[in-house]
Amino acid sequence: MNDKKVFARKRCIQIMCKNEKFGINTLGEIEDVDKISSETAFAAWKDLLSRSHIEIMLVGSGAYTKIADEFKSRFKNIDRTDVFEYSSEIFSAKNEPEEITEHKNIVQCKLVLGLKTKNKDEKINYPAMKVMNALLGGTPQSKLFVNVREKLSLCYYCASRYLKQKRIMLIESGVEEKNIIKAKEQILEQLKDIKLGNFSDTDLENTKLFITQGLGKIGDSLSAIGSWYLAQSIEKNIISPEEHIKEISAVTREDVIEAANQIALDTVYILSGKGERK
Amino acid sequence: MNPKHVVSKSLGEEYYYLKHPSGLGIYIHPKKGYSSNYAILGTNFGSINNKFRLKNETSFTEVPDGIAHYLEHKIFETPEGDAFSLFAKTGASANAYTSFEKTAFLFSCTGNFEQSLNILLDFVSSPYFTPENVEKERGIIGQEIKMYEDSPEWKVLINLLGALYKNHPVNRDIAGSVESISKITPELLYKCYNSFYNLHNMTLCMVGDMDPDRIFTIVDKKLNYSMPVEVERYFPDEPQGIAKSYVSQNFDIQSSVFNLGFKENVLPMQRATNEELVYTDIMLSYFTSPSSDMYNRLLKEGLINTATFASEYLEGPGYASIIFSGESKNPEKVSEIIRDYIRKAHENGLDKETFERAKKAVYGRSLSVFNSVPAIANLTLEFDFSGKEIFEYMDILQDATLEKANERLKKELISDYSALSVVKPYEK
Repeated sequence: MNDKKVFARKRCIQIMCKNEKFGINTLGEIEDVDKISSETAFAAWKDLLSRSHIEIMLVGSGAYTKIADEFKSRFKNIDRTDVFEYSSEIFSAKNEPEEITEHKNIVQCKLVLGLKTKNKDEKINYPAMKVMNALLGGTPQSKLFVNVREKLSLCYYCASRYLKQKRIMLIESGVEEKNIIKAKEQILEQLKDIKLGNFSDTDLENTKLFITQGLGKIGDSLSAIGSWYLAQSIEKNIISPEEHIKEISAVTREDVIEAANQIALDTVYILSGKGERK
Repeated sequence: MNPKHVVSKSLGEEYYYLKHPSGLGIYIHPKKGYSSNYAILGTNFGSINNKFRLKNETSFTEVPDGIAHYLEHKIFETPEGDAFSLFAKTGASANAYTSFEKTAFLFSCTGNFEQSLNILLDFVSSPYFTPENVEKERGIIGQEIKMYEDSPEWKVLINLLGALYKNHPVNRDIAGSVESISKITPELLYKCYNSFYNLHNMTLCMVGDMDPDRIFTIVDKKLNYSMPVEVERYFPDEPQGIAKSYVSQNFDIQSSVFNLGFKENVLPMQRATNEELVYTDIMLSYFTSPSSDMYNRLLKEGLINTATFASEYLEGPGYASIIFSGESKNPEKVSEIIRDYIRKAHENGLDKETFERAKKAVYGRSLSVFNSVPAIANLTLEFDFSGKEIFEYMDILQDATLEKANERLKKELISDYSALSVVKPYEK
C-alpha cells in the first residue's frame, strides 16, 4: 500500500479481474483477517497440507536422496489422496475498455493499462507473446522506452509485462497529470504499430537476442534456477531455459504480429495526484 | 603489461589487477564454468561532490544538486543515438546508477562480451551534450525525482540524513530537485565530465569465464594515455553532533515507516577500513538477525514485521551511519527499545555466544557473494573506491574477536548521536 507503483498495479488487476479469483488480494482483506480464529487457521493449514499442490525444490550441491527421504518420512502420515485440481481461469477482454480514476495525495500520477486476451478460447503462442511484450515495453530498446520516454520525454518508466498463466498484460507508467491522455494514446499507438507490423527485422532479432541472453544467465544463479522451475510447477510441460531459448529463437515476425492482435485493452486505471489530505 | 595476480587459498578465488598506463584501474576476476559475463566501469564522482576545483584553478566551482546523476543519464547519449541502441545489437543488458559517492555504468551478457566491452568504453569516454539533448532529459529526470518524492522509504532516509548531518552534502537527495536540475547546462556537464571522468579517477571491473590476457590486450588497445587530472574536492566541516534528533513527515500511506540512524564520527574524506567494516557487519547481524533477542522482542510486541525490518551501514567519504529501518505502528517505541538494547550492550559488553553466531552468519553471507558474477564485480568496484582489498575482508572476518567488537560498538553506536526519522499517514 505504501508503494504507489505497486498499489496502482494491484488496483488495476482488482478492477480488471473483479469477479475472478485472480482479483482477490493475496494477503486478503483486513475485515476478513479479523474473522480468522486459531481453529479456522489450523483447519486451513491441515487442508493445505493434504490437498494443495506442493513442490519441494533443492538446488545446488547436496545429498538429494537423503533429503528427499527425510521429507518423505516426515510427511508420510499426511493423507494426499484428494489433491486439489486447478487450472487458470481465462477471461476475454471487455468489448469496451473501462476507465477508472482514483485519487491520492501524491506528486506523480500512475497510469496502468490492463489488457486481456481477445478470445479466451483461442490458443496462445507464448514464446511469440513474450517476444511481442519485450518488443513493446520489456527492454531499454523497446518501443515504449524509446518513444514514450526518450523521444517524448513523458516519463521515467514506461514498461509492459505479460502474465502467462492469466494471459493478461499490464503496461505501467508514472506521468504528470497533464500528460496522462497523451501517454495513454502514445502507448496504444506503439501497440498498434506492432499489430500492423511496423517494426524492423533488426528490432525483432535484437529483442530475441536480449531475451535469450537473459535466459542464458539463469544457470549461474541458484535462486534463478529455483524461480525458473517454481514458476512452471503448475504447467503440464516443464521445460529448461535452454529449451525456451530454442522456442524464442524460432519466433517469426508473423508470430509477433499475430500475438499482438490477440490482446485488447480491457481496463485503464489512473491514480491521480489530486487527492485530499484525509 | 604485468597485472598483479591476487589469490585467496581459503576461498579458492583469484583476480588480476592492473593500473593501466592510461590511469584506469582494471580488475579481472575469472569465474570458470559460468555462462554470464559482467563489466562495470565506475568513476569516483557522486552526488556529494558538488564543490570542487582543478589544480590550476583558484576558486571552487559549486554545481547544482543532482548533476552527477544528470550526467549519468547524458553519458548514454552518443552521436549515433542512445547507447542502449548500441547494446541492442550485442544483446547485453546495460544499466547505470549514481550514488552519494560514485557513478557506474555496467552491462551483463552471455555472448558478444568483447563487442559490448568496446561499446561501454566508447560511450563513457565520448561525451556528447547538446542544448537539445540536455533539455530533453529534464522531463525524464523530473519524473524520476517525482517518483522518489512519492516513495516513503526514500524520503524517510533523506530526512534522516538531513537530521544526522548538519553540513555534509550527503544530507541532500542524490537526484537533486526539479528546481536544482533546472540550472544544469551542457557547459556544467562538460565541466564535471572533464574533472571527474578522467581515467585516473575510474575503475573497470570484469567478472566471468574469460581469459585475462586477452581481455587486458583488448582494453589496452582501446585506452590512450591521459594526463592525470587533479581535482580538489571541497567538503564543509561536519561536527560530531547531529542537526536534530527527530524528524517526521506525513504521506498518503497506510502504515508508518522509520529510519533510526547512529552517526559515527569520521574525518573529512575518510573511508571505513576493512576491519571497521567487518565489525560493523557483525554488529548489525548481532542486533538484527532473525535469531537475535532484539529482533524477536520487537516482533513479539508487534512493533516490526519480517518483510520490512532491516539494517544497513551507509558509509562514504566523510560520513558513516548505522541505520535501522522498517514499517511500524509505533516507531518511537521501536527506537526506545533499540536504544535500550544498545545501552545494555555498552554496559555489559556483547554476549560471546551471540557474537560467534553473528560472525558465522556474516561469513556465510559474504562467502555467497562469490557465487554471483554481478555481486563480485559490484563489490570489487566498491572496495577499490574505498581503498580496501576484498580477500583481506574475509581474512579479518575469520579472525574477528569479541574484544574488538566491543571496541567498535563504543565508537559507532552512540545514542547521543542518533536520530529518528518517521514518515507517517495523515491523521484520520
